[in-house]
Amino acid sequence: MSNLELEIKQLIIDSLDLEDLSCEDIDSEEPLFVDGLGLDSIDALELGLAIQKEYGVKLDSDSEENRKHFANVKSLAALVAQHRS
Amino acid sequence: MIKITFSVNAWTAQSPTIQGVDEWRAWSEGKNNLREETTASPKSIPPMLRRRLNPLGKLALSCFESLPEHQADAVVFCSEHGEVERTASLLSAIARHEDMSPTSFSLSVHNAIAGIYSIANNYEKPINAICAGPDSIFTTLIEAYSLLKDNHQQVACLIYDEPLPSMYLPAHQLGQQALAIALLISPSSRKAGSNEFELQGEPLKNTPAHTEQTAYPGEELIKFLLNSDAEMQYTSSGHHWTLKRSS
Repeated sequence: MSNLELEIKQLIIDSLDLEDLSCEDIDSEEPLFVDGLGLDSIDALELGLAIQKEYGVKLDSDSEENRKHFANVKSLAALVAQHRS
Repeated sequence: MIKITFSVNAWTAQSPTIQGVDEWRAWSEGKNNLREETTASPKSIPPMLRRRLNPLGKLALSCFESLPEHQADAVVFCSEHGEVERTASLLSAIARHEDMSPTSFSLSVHNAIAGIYSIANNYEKPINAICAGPDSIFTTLIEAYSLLKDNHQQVACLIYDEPLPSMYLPAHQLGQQALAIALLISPSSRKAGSNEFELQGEPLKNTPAHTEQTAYPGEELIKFLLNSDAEMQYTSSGHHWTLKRSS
């Protein structure tokens, strides 16, 4: 697991108050929403805001691309890495 | 003047350091029995929903689920300010020109805790959320009484509030610690040995232009419920309330 993926897992736990989870409980390739981790639409907005605050990644709210970026931890890490390069 | 009678079938109360009637009795007798301060964790709420509650919401629902015979045909939630820490943090974010937390925003309505309760428990019966300033507790009893008159056999009241964040002080204060009180009431049965109560509310003739802040009546209500001889009097800015046993 990359450091960035670990960082994003911690960001998910902190920003979404997932107090009973630790980073090891989240699989990088597991879906974040509905199935898998079971997050909902409010979590999507909250996580979008956290990613924006933490990494300065601006997200277009209507973009179809967001679905791909927010699929799992791995795809979020790729989005942040791409923004940094 | 308003005058209503009802029976209290069960009640309980909880603060971060005191839980259940026995501990409140010891507290009222001045015994130092305080628990170490902990954040309540209502077991009937699944973790993915429980995380949406802040400490006051957790305290309120934890108190509610510890109410004996917790079967009610309707629930009246009562709070002067609700999860006010959440409101304060949203206002602070606006003041700093930051984006507001979408989660906090979605939960900043007065009936958010009632909503989470109903989702977690599949509760599809009537729920109201009352907020009437210093009259809140008494108007909640009147609301519950109205539901009893509307053919509900047993109505639960869940009363909860917490001290206000420092940004509001000293303008207003709500007690020293967060407090939740749950009551289960039914129509007055007039049977011997039942817990019959009478509430009287009288509008003040001359509403003072500026009244001194009266103490939050939550702890007074607990003392009243514990003591069979007690009568509870409370004057808000608009009403004088008397709660007493009627049998």
